[in-house]
Amino acid sequence: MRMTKLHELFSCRHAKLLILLLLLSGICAGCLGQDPLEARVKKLTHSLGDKDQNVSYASVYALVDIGEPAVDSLIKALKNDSPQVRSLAARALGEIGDQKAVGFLIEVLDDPSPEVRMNAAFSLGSLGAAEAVEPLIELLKDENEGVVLSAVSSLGELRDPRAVEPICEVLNDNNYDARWKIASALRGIGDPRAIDTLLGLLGDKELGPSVASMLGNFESEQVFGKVIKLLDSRDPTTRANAVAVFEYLQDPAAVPYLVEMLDDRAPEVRKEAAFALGFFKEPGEVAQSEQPLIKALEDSEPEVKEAAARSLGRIKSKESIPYLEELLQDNNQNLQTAAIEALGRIGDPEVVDALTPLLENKKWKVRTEVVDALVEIGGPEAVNSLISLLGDENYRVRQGAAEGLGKLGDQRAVEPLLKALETERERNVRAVEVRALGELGGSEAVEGLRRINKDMEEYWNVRTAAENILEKIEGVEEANVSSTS
Amino acid sequence: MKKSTLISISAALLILALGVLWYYGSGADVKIIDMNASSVGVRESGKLDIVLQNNGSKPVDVWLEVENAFVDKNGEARSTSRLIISNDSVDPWDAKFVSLQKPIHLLPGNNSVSVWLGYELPGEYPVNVKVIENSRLLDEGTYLVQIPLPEIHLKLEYETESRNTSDIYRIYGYLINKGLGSAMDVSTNLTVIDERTGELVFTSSRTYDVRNNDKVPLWSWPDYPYAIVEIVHGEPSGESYMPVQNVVIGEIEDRFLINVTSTWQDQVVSAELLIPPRGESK
Repeated sequence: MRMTKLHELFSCRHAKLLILLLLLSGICAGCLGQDPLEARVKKLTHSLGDKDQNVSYASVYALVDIGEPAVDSLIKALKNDSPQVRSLAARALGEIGDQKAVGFLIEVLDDPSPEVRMNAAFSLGSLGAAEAVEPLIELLKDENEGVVLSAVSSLGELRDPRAVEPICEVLNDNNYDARWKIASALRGIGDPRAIDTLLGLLGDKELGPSVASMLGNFESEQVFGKVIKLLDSRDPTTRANAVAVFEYLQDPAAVPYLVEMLDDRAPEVRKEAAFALGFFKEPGEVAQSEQPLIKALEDSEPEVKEAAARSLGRIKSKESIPYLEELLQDNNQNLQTAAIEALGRIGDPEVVDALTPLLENKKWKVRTEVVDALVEIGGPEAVNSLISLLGDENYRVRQGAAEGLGKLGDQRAVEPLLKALETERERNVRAVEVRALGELGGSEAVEGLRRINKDMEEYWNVRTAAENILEKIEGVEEANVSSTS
Repeated sequence: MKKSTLISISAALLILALGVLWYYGSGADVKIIDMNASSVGVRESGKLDIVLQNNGSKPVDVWLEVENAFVDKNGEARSTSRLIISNDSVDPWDAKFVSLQKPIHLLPGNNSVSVWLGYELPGEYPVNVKVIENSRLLDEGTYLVQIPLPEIHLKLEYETESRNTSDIYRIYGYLINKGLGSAMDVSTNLTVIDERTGELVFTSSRTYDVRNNDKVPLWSWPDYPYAIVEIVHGEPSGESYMPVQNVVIGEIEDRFLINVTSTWQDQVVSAELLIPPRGESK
């Protein structure tokens, strides 16, 4: 129908004029019909310079959402007169992740505005731009600390060993964040040339423990010998963090050294050694560490004793049980809970009798620790104790007991759990009790769960928990019926 | 009329006709064939599922313009931030989001998209959806979203303990919502009146949020009651009852009317307890 109209128009006397008008209309339509995405990109790129930070930042997010179609406009914006536009464009290009931007971002690493240099450096790291390594190394000489740290982080992401020495050279900063970023970048590169610099940071009171874990990422043969030398350092912080490196390296050859460090003169070193030994659980390793750790339970410092107790639990030392039982009566709560945790981990049912009196302890922390230990140990006696704790005055203890009863799977717990649900007021405890009933199962439990599911005055999460369990149980029942039929 | 005037008028009409043709003509054949929103309460996030049918044989890029998807408490509509494409997930955080800054790529046949919805007040909201291609309106539809009202209730209960020369009444309470919409900022006042003298002896207030088909405890600290009334027979116990803030100490001849009233918009509900209850020996 439209074609007919056009044909009629062309047949009139003023055909030339009409053709001109048609051309004009075409141009107008072309203008009006500009690709809406292109128009939006243009508008958003312009908004990067908005004085209102909410607008300029929202524009960055919108351009990042648009992605690849916005890249050309953003590259052009790197040459904008406004430093804000250049800086945000540099950042957006990194977020979009189009490799086309790499060369242009390298070009603006010498931009007069530090924000632009910083964002360009950051984006080059995000883009994984290997060709940016040399320019970024050059940027480590920048006068602006933010720019230097941005370059450091990006070099860490690029993982080029050429960056190790230049990064080590900028490590003279007193600022913790700066030191941490530099150490992280060295860890990220993972080149053995960074090891000495990182070892030098083990004496850093703030950064040392993080550096110890970073050194654990290197191959043991690259680090081990150097760490042993640091065990003789005069500085106790260095010695303690050197001990911690062994924990992360997990090299069995470290065990004798760690045992030796249990006699160090500094308590923090002894504590670290006692703690680290808990992570060496092979029989040969345990044979070397068990007795020294039991001896460490008599250390003058409670922190060392606590670490030794926890480690004896981790290595499941049965020989340490009588010594740990003695600690149950200690006045130091941390020591007491460490002993309870250890006895739980060792898992000998005979210790239940020693743990049960602690259920009367006034401190809820102690009682919850006993609950956890009883759940680890299991057995009929543990179940009886947990049932009695469903009426504890502290909600954490009641919750732990209910959870434990669900895990232990003893049907005797169904009735006490249903009874507890009659009076329990706390939302989270009720939900755990319902889930425990679900784990125990059985007709009585299912009946109770149905009641809860129908109660419109029940907490929503408790009702939903009951509903989900019932759906699961009914699903299994249906499957069983269909398989037997 | 002069010939040149006629030509000018014809030309103007032609431009207009071409403009109309350009605007309404030759667009892709895309229709909204279904819109559906699941139940959503006040200040909850919901979704409007839209089925768009591309009747052409090729994929087409369209934009969606959605009005009234988000309406604040002043009745002002806000734009929705993201679309969800091909979302099979129930969890909104697992949904695949697509920016409204980009067109939606519709394949031939039916395509499902969803938009987020959110309303601060109950009521009916006509959500208008326009499908646009290169500034041409291809189709338009409206879906009426209904945001139901919450239905609030109060429940009070207590337990007693006799300790030394005092009777201690621990009062617990719940704000219950049996409706489908959430009730936010429910103002709740506690008043304690000496029944004998009619004197107001204690007041406190707090706001609560309660979602649909849920309840919230009136107490703030786990294992501690909402309020405590201690009736002293001899020497007061001297207990502070911290962290419970609502504490009233009375003597043996006292009886207190505990009233809790919750107000949310035009809903007002109350619950009362008499402590000690009538019939309980003083």
